[in-house]
Amino acid sequence: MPFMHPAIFWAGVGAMGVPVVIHILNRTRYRMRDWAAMRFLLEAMKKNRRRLRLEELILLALRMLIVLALGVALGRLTGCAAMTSLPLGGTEPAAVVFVIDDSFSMGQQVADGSLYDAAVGELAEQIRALPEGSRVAVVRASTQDTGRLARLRTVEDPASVAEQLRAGGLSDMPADLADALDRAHTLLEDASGRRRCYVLSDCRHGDWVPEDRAAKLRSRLEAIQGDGIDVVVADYGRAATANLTVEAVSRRQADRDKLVLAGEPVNVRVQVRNNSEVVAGAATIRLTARRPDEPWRQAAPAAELDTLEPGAPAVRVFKVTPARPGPLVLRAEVPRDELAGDNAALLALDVREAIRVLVVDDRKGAAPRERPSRLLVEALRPGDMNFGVQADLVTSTELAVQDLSEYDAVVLVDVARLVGGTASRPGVNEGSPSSLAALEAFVRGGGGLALFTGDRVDTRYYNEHLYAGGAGLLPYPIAPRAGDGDDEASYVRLDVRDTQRTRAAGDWLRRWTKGAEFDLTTLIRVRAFTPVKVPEAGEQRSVVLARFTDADASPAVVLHPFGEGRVVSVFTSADLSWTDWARYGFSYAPMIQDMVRFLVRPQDDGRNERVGEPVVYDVPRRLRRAQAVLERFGPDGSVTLARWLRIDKRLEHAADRAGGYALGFAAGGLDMASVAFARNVAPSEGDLTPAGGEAVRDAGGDDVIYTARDATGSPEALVRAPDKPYWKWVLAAMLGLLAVETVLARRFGHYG
Amino acid sequence: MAQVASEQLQKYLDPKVLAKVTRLDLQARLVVEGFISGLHRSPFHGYSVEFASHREYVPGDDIKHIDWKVQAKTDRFYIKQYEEETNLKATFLLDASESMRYPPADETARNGRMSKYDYAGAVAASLAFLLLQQQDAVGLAVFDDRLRTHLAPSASQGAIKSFVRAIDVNEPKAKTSLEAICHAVAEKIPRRGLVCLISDLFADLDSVVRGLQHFRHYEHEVMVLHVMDADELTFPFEGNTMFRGLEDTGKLTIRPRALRQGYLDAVDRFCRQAKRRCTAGRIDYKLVSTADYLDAALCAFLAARAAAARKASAKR
Repeated sequence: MPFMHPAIFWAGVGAMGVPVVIHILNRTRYRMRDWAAMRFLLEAMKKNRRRLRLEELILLALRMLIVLALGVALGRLTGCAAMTSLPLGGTEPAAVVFVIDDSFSMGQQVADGSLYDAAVGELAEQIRALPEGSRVAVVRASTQDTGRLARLRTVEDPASVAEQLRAGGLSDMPADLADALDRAHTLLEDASGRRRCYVLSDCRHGDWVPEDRAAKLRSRLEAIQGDGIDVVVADYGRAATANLTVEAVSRRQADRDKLVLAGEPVNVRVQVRNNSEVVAGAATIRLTARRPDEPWRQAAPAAELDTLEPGAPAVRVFKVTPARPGPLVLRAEVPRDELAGDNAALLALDVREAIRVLVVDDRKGAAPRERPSRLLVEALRPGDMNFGVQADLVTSTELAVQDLSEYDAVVLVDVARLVGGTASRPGVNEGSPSSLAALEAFVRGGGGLALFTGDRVDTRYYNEHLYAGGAGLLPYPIAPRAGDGDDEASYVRLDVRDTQRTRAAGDWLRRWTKGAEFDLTTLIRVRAFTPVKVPEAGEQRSVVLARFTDADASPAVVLHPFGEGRVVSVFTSADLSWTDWARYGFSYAPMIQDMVRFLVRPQDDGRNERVGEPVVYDVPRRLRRAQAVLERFGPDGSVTLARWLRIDKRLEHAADRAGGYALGFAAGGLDMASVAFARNVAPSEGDLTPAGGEAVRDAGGDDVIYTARDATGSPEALVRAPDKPYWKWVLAAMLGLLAVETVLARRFGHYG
Repeated sequence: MAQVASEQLQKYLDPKVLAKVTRLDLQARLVVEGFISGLHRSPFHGYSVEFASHREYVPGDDIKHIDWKVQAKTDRFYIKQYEEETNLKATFLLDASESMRYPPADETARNGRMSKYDYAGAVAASLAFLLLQQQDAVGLAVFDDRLRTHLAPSASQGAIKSFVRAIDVNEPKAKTSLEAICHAVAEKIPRRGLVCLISDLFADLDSVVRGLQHFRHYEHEVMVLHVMDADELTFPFEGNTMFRGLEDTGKLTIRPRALRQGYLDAVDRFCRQAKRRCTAGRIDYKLVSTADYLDAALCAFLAARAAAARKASAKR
């Protein structure tokens, strides 16, 4: 019975006899009175006997109804199973697991509720309808739930289950029905008695039809049914009539490897898809931006979207110019429709004031003219002015204590050797900070490294530690210098490769060495260089972008991928000691600038991800142990989480909700730094195309009981009040009955 | 003994009531036959002090009644006729059946109420007193299923004592047999007079009327004082009650409010029927409630009778 307190209801049923008993007792309790005018009484009685009996019966029935209504009201009738019951009711106690799809596609609005509301309501009512002694568990398809809900137990209060599910809300994670069925199977495996598994889902095409997914579901359903467990799939899905999805908001493909610099325009690409069954009318795509602690502001003029065919995508590119450095979250949104969850998407950008380059030069303390890095630094910061690059100069010893996470690229200029060894090659300056290990970690994590050789390079050290048998930062082992830097007469030139393989990777090099007609390399003379021994065997991951024109065609510029980062090795000097390239500023400076920009990759690969990817942030050394606050804000800007924390080295936060995440650091009350992340829902979740019963049966076999919960096609019929407080109506009816009973009893002469 | 008689008189004759009642004469609406000069006109024109008319002398008439003055004027013999005032012979039929015992003694003692019998007795005694004051003769028949006491009409001033004693010694305890009693009493009072039945009429109405018609047959003037207790007229009871009928009329357990309207309708119907039947038989009918003040009830009754008498006189 759908009662919160069935015992009280049954007590009410039993108490229906009380009015009868009182009636009988009343008949035996009376006053005696001698009466003379008996003939009139008898006459009146004779005439009114039937009426009196009928009145008594009416009052008795009313009083019994009042007692019953009181029992029903106090027993808290909160639903009517007969109205919405799912298949497989039965009268025997059963072990039942409800797999409820709480992915955000269930947030599709129908009438005044969502599909999820309807499913939760039916789930609660089904629990109420279960025979006494049944055990119930609820498995959420998008959430790894280990709470009480997910354990088989006797549920006394189905309304509280519904409340918990509603309070939990919809997940932003995609539904993993196969995994949820696995969990349901595990729960039911050892259960005794009748066992059932209800799947309450919108049964989208994307979840049931693609072969890989269908196969997974098929295997799970077969396993469950093989164990004698009944499976019911309740399908709440319905095609959308208005559903635009912001599928992606990203930087344009060509710009993705570039850092975003303040004052430099960024092209933001917004892709919208019409995921409804009807042609979408004209709509506006708005792009707004938000900095931490600031409201959303328009970032670029809105773009208009013409009519869009069902299933068709539309792309609009917005040009956004961040004015200031710092984290910036962009939001692309379309007008709210049936599925509000996919009407907006976010893009987090780390806007930099400049590219931060660390130049390592052991002769840092020498006179400027003596420094091998002088011309390179000048190329990076002409006239020591900021043209988008900030260059810091350190020695290799200082490198060991530098926090490389503060830099985007490192340039080694004629560095003899680095301090320390790597973890895999211990023994070199063991116990001291390892700059080599730090550098390797830096490049492996996405940092850029440029390496120029020179007279000071320790060939043996380089080969042993930097090349490290092909596992290190150096692409090839090197040999001692070839040629003489002081011999102006003897030189080789550069042969810039122009193959398909090198075209993309070496574009920055070719641009500044080859004009349309004139080949600049004819001007560049290389008097000395570091020959490279290219191993004959083994995998060639490195790309030779240029070679020297010596007899062996020794590689001159080599691009070497290392982890997530890139290493560009130039096997000659960065200054004029071995080559006169640096003499030609019109070529050298832009080439160096472009090389740095090529090397530098936004180290924000983890900034913009799908929901579910944890927010990971390696805290720069200077911010470690600083007071930090992590905020999450929804697409509407409302802050939904604020957590103060102190982070030692790395923050790892499980981001299972869509929205923006802002991590701010503060020390002494002043904001020192902040960083933003964005987590967007999978665009496929916006596709609401229903799979239909056939697809479900294809996956689950004929034994699966499929029930379409929108059979009437009426949204109003689909959405039911999830927790109808019938007891209130019964209470009102009881009061009405009481009033009727009082009026009638007065009229019938029972009350004075 | 003298003290007992005094108590009985006080019980049935309230001085205040009598003071009020005596202001009105109990005038027989019909001309009654009597031989004691009272306030009532005699149908017999004879030889008295009040001249009525002349008639021509016929042989056999007493010559002492010849009006010689008229003979001197007209030379013819006329006899003077006088309207002789005669006394009224009133007989009170007092119902002493068990139903007249209502309300029960304990209730009357507790609330100072009168039982129907006591009330009827007081009415009878008061009227008797009034009649005796007018030199009329009063008789009494106390009955239930049989005639318990019968006092022949007497105009002596001491008659009131025996009248009251007869009321007091009888206790209502048996069933009524009104028709038979009427027939029996009618045979005992051959001379025309006033017959006043004081009863709750809880008997078959047809038989009651048949009995009263016997009196009318002998040209008695008949009055019915229908005495009902206030409870019987309003049925004011609450709560589950078992009504135990007096005169063995059975038992009934009911919620009085549920049946009140039906009961009152039945009572009203009965009273209206009694009145209609009495009126049709030229019998005066008056319903009195024991809740009414005795004097008020009697005054109202006597006033009604006086008005009726004047009306009848005007017709003549």
